[in-house]
Amino acid sequence: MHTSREFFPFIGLLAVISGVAIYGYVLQLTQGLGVTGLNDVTIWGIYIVNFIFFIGISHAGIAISATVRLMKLHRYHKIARIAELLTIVSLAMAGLSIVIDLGRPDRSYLLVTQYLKRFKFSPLTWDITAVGTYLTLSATYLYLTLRQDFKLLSERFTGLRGKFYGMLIPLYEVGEKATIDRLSFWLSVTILPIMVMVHTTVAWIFALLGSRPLWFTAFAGPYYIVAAVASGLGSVVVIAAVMRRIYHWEDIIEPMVFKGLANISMLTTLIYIYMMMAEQIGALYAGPEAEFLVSYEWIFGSFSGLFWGMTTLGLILPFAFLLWQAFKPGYVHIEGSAVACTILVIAFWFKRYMIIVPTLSIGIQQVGIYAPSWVEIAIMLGAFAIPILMYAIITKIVPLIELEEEETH
Amino acid sequence: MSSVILGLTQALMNVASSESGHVAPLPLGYLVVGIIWAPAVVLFIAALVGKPRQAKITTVFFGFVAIMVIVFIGAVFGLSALLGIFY
Repeated sequence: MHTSREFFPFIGLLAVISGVAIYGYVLQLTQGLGVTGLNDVTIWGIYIVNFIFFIGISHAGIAISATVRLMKLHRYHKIARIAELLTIVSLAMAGLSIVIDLGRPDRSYLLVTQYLKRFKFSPLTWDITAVGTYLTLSATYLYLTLRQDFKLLSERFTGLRGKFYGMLIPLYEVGEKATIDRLSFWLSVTILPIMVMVHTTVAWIFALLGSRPLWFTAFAGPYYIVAAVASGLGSVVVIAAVMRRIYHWEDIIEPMVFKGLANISMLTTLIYIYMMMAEQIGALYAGPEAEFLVSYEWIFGSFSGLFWGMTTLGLILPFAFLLWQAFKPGYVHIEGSAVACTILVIAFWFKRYMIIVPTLSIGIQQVGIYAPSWVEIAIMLGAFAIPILMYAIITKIVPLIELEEEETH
Repeated sequence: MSSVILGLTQALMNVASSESGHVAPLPLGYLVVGIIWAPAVVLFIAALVGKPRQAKITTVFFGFVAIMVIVFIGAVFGLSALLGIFY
């Protein structure tokens, strides 16, 4: 929990970006969605892109942790908590992204009061159910696995800090670890299928709209899950590399951990490129007229620059680097892997943009032109600054590496 | 002219109303919410009957889950109230 001098200016910068975003949001609240680039045709923009993106990122954390526990992959145990925190923070941001997108966010409570009437037919309600369940169980998992560390910290620190950690472990019992291990095992078993359902229900928000070209597809669920795994694991590689350097954890997090995660991210990226190709070939050569039009705009039309940039520079180039690294036995370039994964994660954000915007702006009426306003861009930057800020502050309270692991090195 | 349009519209409506709808016997929501909550039910049963078991830790587990649910729902209402200031 060492705090360097650079920490405070960094926090200050994030706070300023967050402040500008809050100002932008207040403008949106007082003047309405007219201050955004959204219109009657393109009703969803970068707020919804952020929502899908953050849900995708959230997959990595507990997925890694649960898989490590169930398959006894001890080497990866050291980055499990880094990933778990990422899940919690990104799920919170996904929820906020939905609220930000609403024209009347003060009516959000209707999601709860109208739940029983809506859940039979509304994919949005299923999504709230899945995200809420996933967030609840993920937070429970994190808390239970933290109790042992909170106990150690309450003994290590005296005064207020020690009391604070002591308050975080009510009903503590000596020897509770065995029971907590059992509960964590069952939480792992439970969370994995729920995690799959979270992104499947996100996909169904779009895929059950029969009139929207390129959204209405049977493989939307798997398509979204593959993107989530690739971008989520990529994010963990980036954060773990940054933390390893800042806190000098070279002896704790082995280089091969990065290679393993980068390899899975690389493989899922390959599967994703294949699925994207299958989707586009179907739409371009045999799809109905609306699908053809959207696909044509993706590949040859007004979105082609974004599409080809995202595909070649964002997906294929980092994939090629990670593939080259995978075929060199015993070799891993941590900084190179982190850069490649950063590019992948950014590319997957743009891929979500490609899913949302062309279908809405071209798909049915072919008249909607969407360009995000400065308010949207400020809010979007804030949507990234706030979770980084939250993450940075939480790292000062919660040990990112289990203390037992840290003390053995 | 308008009577022709009216006639055509009437004809289309007759065709449309004679089509049988595709209504699945079970609303999809039951299936989806069932799949999401089924693992959670398994977890709660495992937490209650599995071994080793300590009453205090089981209480902490269910207590934390309850707190999270309350926080989640409370956040939705809290945010609605807070943002309602602007309307």
